[in-house]
Amino acid sequence: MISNEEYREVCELIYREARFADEAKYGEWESLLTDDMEYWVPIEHDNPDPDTQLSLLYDNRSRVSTRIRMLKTGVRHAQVPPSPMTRVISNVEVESTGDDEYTVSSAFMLGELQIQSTGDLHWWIGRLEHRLRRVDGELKIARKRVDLINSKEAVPALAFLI
Amino acid sequence: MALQNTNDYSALIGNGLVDSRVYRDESIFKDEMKKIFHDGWSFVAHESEVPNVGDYVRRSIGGEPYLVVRDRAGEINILSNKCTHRGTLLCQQEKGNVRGAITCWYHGWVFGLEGELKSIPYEAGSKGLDHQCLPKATVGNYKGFIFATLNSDPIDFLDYLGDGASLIDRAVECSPVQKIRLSTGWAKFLYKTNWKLQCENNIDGYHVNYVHASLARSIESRYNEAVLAEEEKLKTTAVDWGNGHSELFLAAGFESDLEWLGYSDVKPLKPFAATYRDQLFDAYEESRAARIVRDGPPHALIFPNLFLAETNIVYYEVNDVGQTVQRHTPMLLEGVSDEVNVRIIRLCEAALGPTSFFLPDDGVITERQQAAFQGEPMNIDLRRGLGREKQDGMGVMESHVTDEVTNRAFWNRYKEIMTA
Repeated sequence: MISNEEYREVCELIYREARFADEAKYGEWESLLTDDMEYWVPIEHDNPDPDTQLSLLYDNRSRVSTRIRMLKTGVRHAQVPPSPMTRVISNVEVESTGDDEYTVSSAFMLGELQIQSTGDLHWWIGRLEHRLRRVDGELKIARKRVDLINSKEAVPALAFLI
Repeated sequence: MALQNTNDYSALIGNGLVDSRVYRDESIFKDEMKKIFHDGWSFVAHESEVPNVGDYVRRSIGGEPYLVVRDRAGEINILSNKCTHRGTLLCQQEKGNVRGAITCWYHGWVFGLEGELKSIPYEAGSKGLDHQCLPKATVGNYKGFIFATLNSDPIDFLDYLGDGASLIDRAVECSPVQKIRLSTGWAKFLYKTNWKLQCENNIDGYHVNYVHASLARSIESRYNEAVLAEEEKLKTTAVDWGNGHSELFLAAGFESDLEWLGYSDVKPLKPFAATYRDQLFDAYEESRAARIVRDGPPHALIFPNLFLAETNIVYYEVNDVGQTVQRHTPMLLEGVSDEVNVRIIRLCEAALGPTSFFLPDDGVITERQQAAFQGEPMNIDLRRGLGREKQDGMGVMESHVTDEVTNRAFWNRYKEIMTA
């Protein structure tokens, strides 16, 4: 069991991360990550294996840095200007998985206005799994997995932080 | 305003000048479906996707639903996915195994793996009626790459493929046992553009500095030679191989072994990569092995819809005049360690698809073209390099990497087919 304080601290981190991503605050978003953070959007949902199956995105920490650097150049055309976005995160379940480590499962809906070319409003819907770890007293994101309900269908550009 | 059914393709397409109506006009799109995709050859699947009897994958051929199926004799058949009774799609899932026969879940008609109508429930009522088998596409197989046409009397498959065969050879020979495998699944990227804009973009060596500026400013990559050098210093070339097939010969800019797997003099080979290099030298005579290790697989378009994207296989699903699905999957190599193939999967995720470091930017830029074409028609100018391209004794046209010789290769073939 986790305490109410722990639950609240976890939720605050997850919500802050969502807001930084929505507002294209790339540096602030990156500051929430551990040095070995893994960022993963699998295509398969049932026990996916990134070493034998293609993922939509599978970044180690160095690749996350490249992604952030690209977004910060101001010429990542697919996000210039950044898509106006709002995401709602709900159904947050927190499991303690070790000393100061948590696995957090949640559901999300994200509305994105693709203003870079088509002007379409996209709905991105799915589940999130965060693994959190306390580093020097601060709770950080060690892994984020995003399972889109339509990952096997044709999807438009996903160059923002999902 | 839409053109009528008698589109004059010799007027729409000049030497490097293309009327923008070809990207948005419904009647032109219908002509293309018929002449290019139904009557001509296009890429459909790789045989490694259906390894076992009864395995199938769903594919579309010029908008028509088909199944690529492995039959009991081990042959690959491409069968219509429409029940000949009332048209219901027989297989709804993307891939699977039909367990010996294909059953329609509307009224229970059963078809064999070669498309034959095997049984229908309550057959007395059908007595004397010539119920139909599933239509079959004509299949061409080159080193496991499956192409199809709905034409029962098409041009010879190898004549269509022409020098495209040597491009496929150069992809397949990266495996020391000359076998590739597409087993990790496909990702699908939706573009709101006509399919031909994607054909043009993927084989265009001129856009890299601008479309991919954010990557060039963020990372050292093997594309930097193609990106940052001055015009006269660029060593890479653009090649028209004939029959609409074309290539950006990136390897001309490579300076060390296995650059195409991400290695360089500042990023030395990991042990598994060194082992892979040794395997190639064991498998081939020395000069050939050295060339494969240096050059890697090609960056080439096989007309009309197959993009050999270095260590990836890409093709376009063409179902709508203003919308294209680009599918991609890593080209895994047989006969190498798992680490080599994991590396290839990671490269695929970095380069291709909706989250990748390249393609989302190509997507929005080409979507801006498509949006512009909704206005008055204009001529797209693809004449760059007309003054300096050179033809060799075999008829292969080569020019500077930024020259639009590759795009003209596509359009010349397109025009030939559409005016035939």
